[in-house]
Amino acid sequence: MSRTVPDLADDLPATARRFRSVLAAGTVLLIVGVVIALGIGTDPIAPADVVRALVGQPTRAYHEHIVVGLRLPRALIALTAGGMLALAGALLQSGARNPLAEPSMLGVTGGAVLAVVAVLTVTSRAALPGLLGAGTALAGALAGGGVVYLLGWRRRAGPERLLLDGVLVSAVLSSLTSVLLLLDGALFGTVLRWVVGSLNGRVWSDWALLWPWAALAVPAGLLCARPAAALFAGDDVAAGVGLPVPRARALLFLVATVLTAGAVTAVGAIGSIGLIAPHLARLLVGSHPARVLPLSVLLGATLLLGADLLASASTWLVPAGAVENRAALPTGAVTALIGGPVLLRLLTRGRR
Amino acid sequence: MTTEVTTGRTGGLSTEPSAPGTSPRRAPAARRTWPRVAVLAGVSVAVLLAAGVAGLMVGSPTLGAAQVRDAFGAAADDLVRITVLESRLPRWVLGALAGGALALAGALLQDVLRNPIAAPDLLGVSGGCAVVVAATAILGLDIPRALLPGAATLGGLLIGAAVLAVGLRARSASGLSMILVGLACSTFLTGCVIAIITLGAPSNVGLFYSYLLGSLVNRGWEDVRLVAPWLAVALPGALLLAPRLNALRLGDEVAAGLGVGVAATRRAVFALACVLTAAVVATCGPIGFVALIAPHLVRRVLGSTDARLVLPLCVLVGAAVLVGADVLGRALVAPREIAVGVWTVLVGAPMLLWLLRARDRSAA
Repeated sequence: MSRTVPDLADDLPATARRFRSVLAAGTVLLIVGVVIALGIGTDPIAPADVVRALVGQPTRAYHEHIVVGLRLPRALIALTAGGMLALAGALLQSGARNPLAEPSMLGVTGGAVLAVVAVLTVTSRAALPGLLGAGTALAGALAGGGVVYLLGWRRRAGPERLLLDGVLVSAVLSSLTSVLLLLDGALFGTVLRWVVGSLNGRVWSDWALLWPWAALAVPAGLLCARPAAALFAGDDVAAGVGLPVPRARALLFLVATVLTAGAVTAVGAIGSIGLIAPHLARLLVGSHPARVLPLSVLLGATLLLGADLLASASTWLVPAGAVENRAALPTGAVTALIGGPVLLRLLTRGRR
Repeated sequence: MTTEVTTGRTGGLSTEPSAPGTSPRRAPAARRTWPRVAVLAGVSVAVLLAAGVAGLMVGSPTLGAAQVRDAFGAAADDLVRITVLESRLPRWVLGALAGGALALAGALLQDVLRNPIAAPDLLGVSGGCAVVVAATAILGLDIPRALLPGAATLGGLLIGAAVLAVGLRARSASGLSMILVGLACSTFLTGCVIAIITLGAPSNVGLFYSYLLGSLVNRGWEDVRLVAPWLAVALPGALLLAPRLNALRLGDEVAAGLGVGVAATRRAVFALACVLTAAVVATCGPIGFVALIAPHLVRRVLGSTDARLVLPLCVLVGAAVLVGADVLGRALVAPREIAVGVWTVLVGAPMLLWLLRARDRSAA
């Protein structure tokens, strides 16, 4: 695939050669992270016991129930959703040469959340069954993202301007969500955590909904590496290699939207992963999309897993009795705490 | 400082007559401005009063005009009297004060930064105040209630100063960068507030959610008393600074030449804007976009950027906008109500989009 991709001037051979070892190191880190995540909880389990439980030979009988039955689905969902969000961010950033693109700030996430909350209100349910929820989120994501796309993404306005457009549209969408939530007290209690972004209480049935989506969208996103690389090299170059530029950009936007909608359905409005992971990937292996996209998936997965670990760890950081309520932080709060400074750094970084 | 200059965009009408060659006299422009001042002030006061009267009647229970009138003379324990005088009247007063203060803060920041899209909520000042308020309430910090706006001011000053310091060094020294730096800080602050709220009792979550949207629900005279002293100092202070703001608008060198201490004025204006914002946030939450909308409305209608006219009118228009939005939020879904901060975002965010678009066109 990468043979036909035009080589980029700023693409250092050293970073290219580093790609395989970085990918390997990332995978090891991911596996270690999973084992730690499966071990940590109100009943801590040693890493060795976690591995034994995973392969079906638990040291104690209940280990298998805790590790495989309760903690594994949450970890898998964190990994998958993180990977999807990061891939969406990487596609958006490469496709429009916009380093500030981030799915949660493009109206995509806000649209999905609003659509789901609206359908919940109309049907007065506490949760949407499988396909209905997924379809609703996708429709909302497409509508919200579509508005931002039509406002300026298509015309390729400057990165800062696009970010501001997206944030303003997101503000309107989240205000509408607030209207619905405030009018429906019962709904408020059940979906607020999801609206903020949380992985609490995810079970195998949630996973059953997420993996087919990921299995379709993630390969599709990775296959976009070629048009993404051409667009990243510049519109003229892309047109020169025979790429229909507006259509290619729309395709990238569409795939990113589908990826984001899937992740939002599973974990709610978690932001910043799509901003941080691709930037980290570019730091490590240079900016060629053929390398950035796969590495972003890996890093995004690890990041969301880590953020979720931090979020649940907050339960132990606060001493018992210090405050009324020791509910774990929503994961979305942790990613926002990390994402703000990262965005700040990107904004203040001098022009290359 | 920033390279943005508002004069050419929002105040295009006023600069044309005094441009060299077209007209040597300023009198015609001034003569055209005063009727507009009168009309704008009249409309604002009318809206403020009409919405105020409607606000006394709308809600649960809905009262007729005669009932409201009778309430003023009723016995002290009369339910209607309590509803009107202890619940709806202070709400109207607080809404007017908050709207006026926010609009004034926005106008001050826009003038002093020469950035047409500056506002305390967009620069992270409101967020800084809100974190302090949320932390005080949820973590049970022992701050006397009267000092809460002061503590909130510190939070707002801290975040606002950080945003300014970073924003001025940002990639492109345009008005946009400053807002985005504010946005990055807001993202972080939102994380902080959510983190703080999760530590509180589950029953409080709904209350703080509506606080964070910006709301006037269940505010009483004690809230008015809390805000009033801060505003009593900051409002006249800001209005007195208007001539200096006019000088600053001409550029730092010209202002210095006119005998205005540029750095000192800038610091004073920024601090005043923070105090005004903090007083509002401490009682009503970080209500968004009023500070952005009202000054733009005023400058557009007046066709002038003269701070001596813009600032007092902003107070009136901001008050009318916020009280109007609040009454609308109560009337549309009566007997329920929707937090006023929701409406201001629904109107304000598209308006900012439109302003940005207009800026693009004038730049092209």
